[in-house]
Amino acid sequence: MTLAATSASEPRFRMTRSRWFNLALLGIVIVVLIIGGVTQPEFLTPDNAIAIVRAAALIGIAAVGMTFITLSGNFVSLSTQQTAVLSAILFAMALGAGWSLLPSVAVVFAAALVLGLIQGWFVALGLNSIVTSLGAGAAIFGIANVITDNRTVQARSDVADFLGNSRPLGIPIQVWIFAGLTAITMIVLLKTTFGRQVKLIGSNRDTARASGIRVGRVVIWSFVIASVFASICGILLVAQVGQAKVLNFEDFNISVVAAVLVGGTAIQGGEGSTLRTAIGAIVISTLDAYMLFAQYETGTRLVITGVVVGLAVISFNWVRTRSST
Amino acid sequence: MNGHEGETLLAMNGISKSYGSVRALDDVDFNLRRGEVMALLGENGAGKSTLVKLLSGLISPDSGTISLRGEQLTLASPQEAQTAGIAVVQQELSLVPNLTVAENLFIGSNDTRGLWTGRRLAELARPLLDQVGLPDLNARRYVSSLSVGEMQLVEIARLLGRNAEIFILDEPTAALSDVEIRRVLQVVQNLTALGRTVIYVTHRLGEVFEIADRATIFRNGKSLDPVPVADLTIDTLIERMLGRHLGEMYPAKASSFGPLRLEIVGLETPGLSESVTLSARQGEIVGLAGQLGSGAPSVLRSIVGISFTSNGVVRLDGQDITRSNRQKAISSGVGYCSDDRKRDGIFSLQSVAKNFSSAAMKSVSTAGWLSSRREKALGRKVSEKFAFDANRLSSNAGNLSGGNQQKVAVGKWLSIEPRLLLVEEPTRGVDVGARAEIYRNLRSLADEGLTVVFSSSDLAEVHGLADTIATFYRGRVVRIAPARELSEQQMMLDVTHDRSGGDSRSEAEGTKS
Amino acid sequence: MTYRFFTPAMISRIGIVVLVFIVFGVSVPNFATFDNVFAIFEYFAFYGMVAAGIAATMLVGELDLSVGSVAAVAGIIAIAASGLGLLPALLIATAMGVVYGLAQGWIIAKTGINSLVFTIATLIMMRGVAFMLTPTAQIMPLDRIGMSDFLKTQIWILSPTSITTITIMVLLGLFLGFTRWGREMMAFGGARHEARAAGVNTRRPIIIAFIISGALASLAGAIASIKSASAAPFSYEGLLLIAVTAALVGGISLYGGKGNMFGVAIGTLTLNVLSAGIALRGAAIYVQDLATGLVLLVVLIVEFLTESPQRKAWSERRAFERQLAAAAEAKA
Repeated sequence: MTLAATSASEPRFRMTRSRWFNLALLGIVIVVLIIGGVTQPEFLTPDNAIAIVRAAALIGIAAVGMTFITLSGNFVSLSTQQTAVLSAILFAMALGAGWSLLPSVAVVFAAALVLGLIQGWFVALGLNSIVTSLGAGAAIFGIANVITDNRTVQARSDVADFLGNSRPLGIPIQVWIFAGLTAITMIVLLKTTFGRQVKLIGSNRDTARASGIRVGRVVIWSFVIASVFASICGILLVAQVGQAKVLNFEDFNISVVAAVLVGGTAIQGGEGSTLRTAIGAIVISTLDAYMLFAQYETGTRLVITGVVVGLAVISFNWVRTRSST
Repeated sequence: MNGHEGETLLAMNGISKSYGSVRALDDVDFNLRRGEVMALLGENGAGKSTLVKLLSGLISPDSGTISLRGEQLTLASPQEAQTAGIAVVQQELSLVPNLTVAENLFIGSNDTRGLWTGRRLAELARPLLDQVGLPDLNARRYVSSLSVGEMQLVEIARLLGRNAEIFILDEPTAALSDVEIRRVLQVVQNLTALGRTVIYVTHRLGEVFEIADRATIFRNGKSLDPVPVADLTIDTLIERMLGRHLGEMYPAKASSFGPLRLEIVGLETPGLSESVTLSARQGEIVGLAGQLGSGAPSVLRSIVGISFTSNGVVRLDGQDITRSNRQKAISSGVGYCSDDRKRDGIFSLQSVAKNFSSAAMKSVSTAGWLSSRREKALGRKVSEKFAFDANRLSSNAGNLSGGNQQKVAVGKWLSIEPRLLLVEEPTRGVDVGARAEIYRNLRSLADEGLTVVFSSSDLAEVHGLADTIATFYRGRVVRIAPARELSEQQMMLDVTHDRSGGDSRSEAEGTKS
Repeated sequence: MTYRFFTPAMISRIGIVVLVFIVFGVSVPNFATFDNVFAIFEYFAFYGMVAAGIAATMLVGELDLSVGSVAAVAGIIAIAASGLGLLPALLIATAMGVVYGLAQGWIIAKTGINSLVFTIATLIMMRGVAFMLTPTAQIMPLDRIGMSDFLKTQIWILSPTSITTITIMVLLGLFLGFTRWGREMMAFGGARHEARAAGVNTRRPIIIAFIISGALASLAGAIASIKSASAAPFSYEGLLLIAVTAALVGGISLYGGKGNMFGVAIGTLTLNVLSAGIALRGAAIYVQDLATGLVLLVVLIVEFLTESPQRKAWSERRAFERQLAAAAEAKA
């Protein structure tokens, strides 16, 4: 898969604990694929692999964005779903009104920016991020409802079609975007001062403040990033299906958070990466795809997913508490 | 005070305890007689707190035995210590702010049965509160509304409620006013009158002479045989407390200094009971000596804005930096290290290299893009200046020894090309070898023009490292003098003993908060 | 400050719910009728019980996100067991909740894992369990409709369900306020480190809190299902938001250790009155959610503005004390 190429941007290669984690996660994906391939021969085809990553793409993009919030020690955001929904609706409306691609995208990004700014500002002041995003999410959802009044908004336009249905080099565009965003965010985290500040704040907020880092500003930006990435998902969905409604992105919040958790980014912050989150999304997606393929029922699939997330969380926690000073 | 010749209640033999390479207790013997007040004395880090923690069941000794009433026992947990009849008031208060005083008195103990109604608890609390001299304190008040002194007394009252045989009070009067201190001493005397035994840890020598029967002095992890207090004077006591310090520990002091760099005029801030005026020149190392509650660290904290400067002026090279915040302080070239590096001095989970660059990321990046080459160069440069092994730049800071961690915490400020370095307790939790290195490095940095102002409760350290010394006691400066004109004995007197005999400040609060 | 039950904050909360009621009473026809108030209390009966449970976890400084899924499972179990009678069915469903809460609480206490993170996993798992128990909605057979009717009997403005909720809230409030274990929970939530140092058991408060939240979510789900004579695996998705908001509006602090059951009741009522008013005005359901979200944000801001200075003063004082207290590590 194309993701492996993004991991080695450091000059000297050393096996750090985080690299063990990445390997372990990839290993799990491979194991599931092997088990899947053995028990269901039809499962292991390139088409299927692409379908898995495509299914993971939207969740993955949002999860990758949210990882900035997690890394900076603010747990998770529970407004990802609603932001994606509102973004989809705004995008569909803009396209439906005859706007061309760029202005429509710009409007959506602007809205997402504002939403992220407000939530980030509250959290920077010291409000708890879970509850802030819970409330903001409800408010955003309400706004989406008010705008659509329960109708489905039609995009009525082809301009975004390539964003939804094209397959450059045979690979769906969503996969490209997912991979690209993962790579970009990895670079930001590893090579920019902003990325470094995110991780330092998550490691130890007090020390970060003592070192002169502007904690509030970084927190706000992390929420903006999460919000904009969620809006990208909304845009991509509309590009694909040509319409938007408030019922889209069902269970998105849970899936996105699960991806971050399974990826092993520490919920307390300071440790983890967007690459891991991306792999986490793929792990869940692979598991889900296999279970669908093997025709497991909804209930069983959910239970297994829940167990996997629970085990992942407990294992990572165990590793961390054992090796911490 | 009453010449109790009781039988031996508690005996500890051959106790040793190490934290990594730091020997906190080294083959220590300790005994306690029934009904006495035993004072534990010694400088910070000499071993008193470790002994207290052993007896409270928080830690276990590496070797040695403990026997109570003739029977050997192990104190593996606070519960076991409670069952053995040992009650401890730790230095760190353990009151729950959102509960009332009465609830705090009984929370966590196994003895309180029945309904916890406000009225019933308040009734049960009354006698305990009376005993510590708080007869007018409404037991239904929330602890969060009490003063620090009142909280300390409530903590002691909680102790009285637990039916214990041995009471250990670890620096109980550090935060108290004179009036409150009197109450605590009265409580101790009441306890012995009831036949209980008290271990009293303090650095306030006056209290020792008032209530203690015997004193055990700790020095560098070893203990001296207990001495009847009646046989001691202040001077002989101080003599025993000061150990010889290792000869080669401290580098030679500077002979000349540059122009005036730091001016503090009339500084007032929480923690100080009087305004502070002092100054430091380029190339000078100024040491602020003081024990708990002395106010010395508050001076440093107000310069960088952690503590609110209510009055006064601070100037750096003529530039007014009063009431700066962190960012302004850093951009003015002021680095500050707190006394708790794990809390806010280092990033335990990040590599040393990342720690070194954390305060000055601008200098290792261009337009937001980090340059690993420049970061490495910075890491090497700081390592060199601080005798840090450059091969360990990629280790996580949390995995280093105490000495190396401290080097990281202090060394990272070199990245901002500082003019002034403020450090609290520069070698807390650091082993001997690393201490000498840190002193050497601070000296050579000073010789290159850096001004260092540090606060410390280790008098030998202040005496050895500083060019100029300011002694603090209970929120005010006692004296400022060049190190060569001040003896350690005089320093000890200054920081432990109210030289004015406790009259002029007796009714006021010991420290402002 | 001294301990007082009717603090200014509590009084203003009571004032707010009365105010909202009056506002809607005069502006919306048929609002201030016995039937409508009865309907409000019916909602209160359900959401209040779940809010009380989740409040217990918040009070010890944790959060149980899985209440919605647990309620769904309980509802299904209750319908399936309804053949044994009303009380046995409710007891069986609640017992499930107790066992579930015990397991959850024990794992969280033992591993020290963040409950936020763990309950996301259990939230997914229990939703799966609900689907495994039945892929579609379960309808209760007609011969047992008597049970539903019983639960709906109107006694003035109350019913057996709301009376149950009120009773449970009172009992829980007494437990938290007047028993040793209850006070330990409050101590643990308010200042975990200090409580430990004072000798409070480190596991019990968490386990008790999660047992309460599991049991109450189950009981609420069971009662609701029997009342409506059906249970579906996909129900109660939005339950979490309302329950958390009700607790927060009622003065339960997110940081732990502050708040009481009476506040939770007032908070739930406030939201219920608001929802009922909006519904009666003919607005769509989503407006209720929007209002709930906005109320949450407002409450957050208010709590932050009023509580945080206190908390900051406290932590400043503690920092000052740590200043006074030397570090534990020895120097060589």
